[in-house]
Amino acid sequence: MREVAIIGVGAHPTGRFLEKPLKELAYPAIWNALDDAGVSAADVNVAYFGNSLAGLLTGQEGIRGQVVLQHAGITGIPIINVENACASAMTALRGAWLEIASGAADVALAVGAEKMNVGDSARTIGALSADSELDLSDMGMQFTATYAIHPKINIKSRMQEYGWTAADLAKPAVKNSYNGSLNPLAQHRRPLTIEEIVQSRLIADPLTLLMCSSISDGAAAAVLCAADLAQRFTSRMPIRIASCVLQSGVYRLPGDERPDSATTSASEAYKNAGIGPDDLDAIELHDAMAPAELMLYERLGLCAPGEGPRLIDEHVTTLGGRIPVNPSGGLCSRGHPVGATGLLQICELVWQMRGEAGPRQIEPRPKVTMAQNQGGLLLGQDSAAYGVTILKC
Amino acid sequence: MEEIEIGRTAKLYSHTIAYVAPKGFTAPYFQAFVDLPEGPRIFSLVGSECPVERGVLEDGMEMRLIVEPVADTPERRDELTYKYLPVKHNGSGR
Repeated sequence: MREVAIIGVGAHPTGRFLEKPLKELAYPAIWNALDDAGVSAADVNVAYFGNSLAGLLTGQEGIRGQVVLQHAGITGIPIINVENACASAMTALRGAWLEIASGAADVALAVGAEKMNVGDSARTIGALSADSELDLSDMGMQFTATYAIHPKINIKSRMQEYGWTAADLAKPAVKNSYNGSLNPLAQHRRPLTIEEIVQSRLIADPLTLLMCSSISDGAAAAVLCAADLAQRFTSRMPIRIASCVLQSGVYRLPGDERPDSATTSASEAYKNAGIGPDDLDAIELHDAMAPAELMLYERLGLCAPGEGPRLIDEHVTTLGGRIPVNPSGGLCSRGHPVGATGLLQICELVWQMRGEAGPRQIEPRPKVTMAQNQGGLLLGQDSAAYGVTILKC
Repeated sequence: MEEIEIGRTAKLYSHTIAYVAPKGFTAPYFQAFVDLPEGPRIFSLVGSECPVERGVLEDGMEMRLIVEPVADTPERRDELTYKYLPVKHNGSGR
């Protein structure tokens, strides 16, 4: 396999852009990424386009990528449309990475774009429920509530087992809202306090409104090339993809002691990159609901079970800490335009590794980083898709 | 292939009250996972005769199978599904 580098990234700000169609969200991301890489549209050999909801929300079920990319000048090449719920963008990145690693292409474009605000949030929430197995959503399963009770996380039982309080559940959102307040691309830019998070409206006991990521529009893109060709396009430091892993969820019966898929996908990414959790300098992870960050600390090997709140109390994962997590503000603050999120995570890590993150820059500049993205919900006990990418420079 | 009956009883694995409901359902309503004696852990709603209040359900409690409309809304009233009810519950009932 050839070594692959990310040589350019770009993103559209995340937020509510009612007047903008999907294309107009995607173009700034694509053009900024090409410009950042020193690559022209004609240099791109293959493109992967990640999106989850356009079929249901706009009716554009087919050829989503071609419809967007033709007006960006990306035509006459293989364009592959990728849908993998909230992990769509990381799945697109993996496709682009494989094209180059295998030698099939020299330059590849990965795009993730999502338009969720359509003026009717009930319709958006209805579309999101199609990111879980329909047998569940038809039966009345509410997506947010599953974070409270689904066996893969079951926050309520964790509160009992570890003595976590409502304040503990809010801590990732406090940290991430501060990070997001420093990010000009973020959807929510006001730092939040534990009190206002805990006291905000209950969505599904014990999850409150400000612990949840919100409906969001946005887009992100990355240009990848064979590492030994990077200098042909740009004098900037190439960011190497040390591993790029995708796993589907596993059906498990109660009592199945095998590690869950968030754990196994991270382990595979560590193994392929030849590193362990102690080697990471920064992480962007999938905090669709704030307490999920506490659970993911365990699954990514950052702490023992139950110790997540302590990592925040002791400032281990804050911007100035040993291993900052979600410097962008994460899904709750930066925003979660579902099919764009994985590449928004990658953009943030590339900016951090290059030292271009402005007031939220991690010092010293991170050299080894991880993006963890997941999506969808199955009848079993896992999410549907887990994507993990480790970057090195 | 042989047809077998499962899940006449269950044990409550986890539950919450959802205060936001998808179209066709009315909030607040219980969401739950139950463990069937035959092995599977499944998602289930809780029967409508159980009052939706904190403290009524307790994880680990014994549940029994019922069949009733998915929801008491015009969209879903004619559709039957399985749900579980506590064998004994702490609430006031209605």
